[in-house]
Amino acid sequence: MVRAVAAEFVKLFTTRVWAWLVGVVVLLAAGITGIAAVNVSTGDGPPAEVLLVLLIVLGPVAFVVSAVVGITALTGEFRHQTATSTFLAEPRRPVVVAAKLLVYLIFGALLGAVFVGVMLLVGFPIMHSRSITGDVGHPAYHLARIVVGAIGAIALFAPFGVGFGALVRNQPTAITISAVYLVAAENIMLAFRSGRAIYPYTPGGAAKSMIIPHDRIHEVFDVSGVHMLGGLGGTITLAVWALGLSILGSVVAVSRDVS
Amino acid sequence: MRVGEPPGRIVVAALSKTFAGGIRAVDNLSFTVEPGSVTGFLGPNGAGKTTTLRMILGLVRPTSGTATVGGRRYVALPNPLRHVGACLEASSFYPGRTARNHLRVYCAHAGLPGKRAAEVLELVGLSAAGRRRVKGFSLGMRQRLALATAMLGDPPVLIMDEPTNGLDPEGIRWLRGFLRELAGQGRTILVSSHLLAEVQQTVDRVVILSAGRCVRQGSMAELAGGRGPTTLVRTPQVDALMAVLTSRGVGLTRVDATAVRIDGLPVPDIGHAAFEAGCEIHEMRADQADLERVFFELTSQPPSQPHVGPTYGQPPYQPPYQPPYQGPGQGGPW
Repeated sequence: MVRAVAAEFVKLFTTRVWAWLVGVVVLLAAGITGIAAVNVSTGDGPPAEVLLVLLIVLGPVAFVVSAVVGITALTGEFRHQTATSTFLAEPRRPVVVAAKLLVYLIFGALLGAVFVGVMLLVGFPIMHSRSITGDVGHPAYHLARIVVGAIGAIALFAPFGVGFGALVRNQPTAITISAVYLVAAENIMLAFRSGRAIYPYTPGGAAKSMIIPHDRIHEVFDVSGVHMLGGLGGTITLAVWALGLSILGSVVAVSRDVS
Repeated sequence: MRVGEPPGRIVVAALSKTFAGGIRAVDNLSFTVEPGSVTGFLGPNGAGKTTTLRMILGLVRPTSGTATVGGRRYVALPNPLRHVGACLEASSFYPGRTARNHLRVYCAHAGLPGKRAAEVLELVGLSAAGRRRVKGFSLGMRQRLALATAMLGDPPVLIMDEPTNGLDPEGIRWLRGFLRELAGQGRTILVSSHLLAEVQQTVDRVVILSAGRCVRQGSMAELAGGRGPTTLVRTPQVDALMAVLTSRGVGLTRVDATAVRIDGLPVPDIGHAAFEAGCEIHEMRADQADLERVFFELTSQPPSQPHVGPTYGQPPYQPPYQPPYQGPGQGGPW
């Protein structure tokens, strides 16, 4: 397992893809946060509140980026036929998937840290320069909670993508389905009563539970009929999604013949 | 692991593979590859060679039967890259990764130091291209990189699927010598090809497949049937020559109006017979195409029972006057 993890790190950092992805995340976070910070007013709340709202709005985009990173981990192997060499080097395929889960969880955390870090570095100075300061409730608690929750959620979407990619295998299909689902389908779900009942247990719903402090949930995400989970519940739910998809993918798809 | 099984022995036992749709790609296949030899795994396209190699390597799950290396299934080998090196396809590289970094990935998998990448690049003559991205490689360079990947763990067993695809004559000649050298070190080499002529100077033994079944396995001498050579003679008096030879019970086949293929008779005896018959000889040479003809005959028929050795009941044929392997630097098929 240690050798497989080491090999996955070498794979990840010996192409330019990771650098491009970090670049995309930086541009995305800096651009949208910058625009928001210039346009918000004191009536929109203190900086931490603005950050929270931005993360709720922008979160699905960051989730998609992270999921796409994870999806490419295995679908890329099949696309470029390197799966043959990988499974020759480590024929125990669940070990390969487990190594990817771990490595991409770490890389997902890196992406999350970059995403949230850039939002803080760009947004807060601009808002302070415009005299939008102060905070509500317990500012330190809220801000730390929001930051840790967002980084954790973005990190978990990478292994979620690994599992989804193991199941679907076809890269364009996997990316399209995950993007449409995370950006559109989950929001459409909220329009229906049955959808609202299961929304807290969806990947996006669980991620929101991780980001929004539980005592603020009804203020920030007030959708009738949705009973959001707590931060820990959201974390466990999203981790179960990632693990469940990976196990299912290992059993159903990765165990197929490589020919 | 079987007790006493040599670490380099490949044993395929009653191996079968039926794909979805009921396509029987490999049918009750059995053969053994011994260490210290180069074995040609031959058959036309679609005969089941690649599927068999992939079953040996744990990439394709057999429907029934077993395939072991050193008494273990591939998936049970503790560090496979140090036991078996495999070259299956020349396109299985991430295009944006450099050759050296590609090898570093598999060094990590095998627990080898990164400097091993440079060593195998030198071994296959790719040192100068080590920092280039694979997307700029020719097919021949990719084949060499695949071979370098296979050699990373210095394995006692090497399995190669159509390794000459994309190689130029110089590359083929180099590969021929390389494989003989590896076999000389006691390694087990199993190399597939759809052309016997491509491997006949290199291999010690052959396993020939047709429609997923083994139609012949044995040494090259056994494939030749233990008979004498086949000689092609071109003469304007072909009828006279045939009459003399037929009267002596020599097997022969008319090729065209001026040529006859003579089975099993040494060249001096053919020359003497031609002299006696008063034939003017325009050409007399070893029939290089003979083994290939046998190969086509074997693989173009519906397979019957698997067979070992020379008594398969095929039409009589003779081995060509092929010189034994003479090492790198020789031209012609490898």
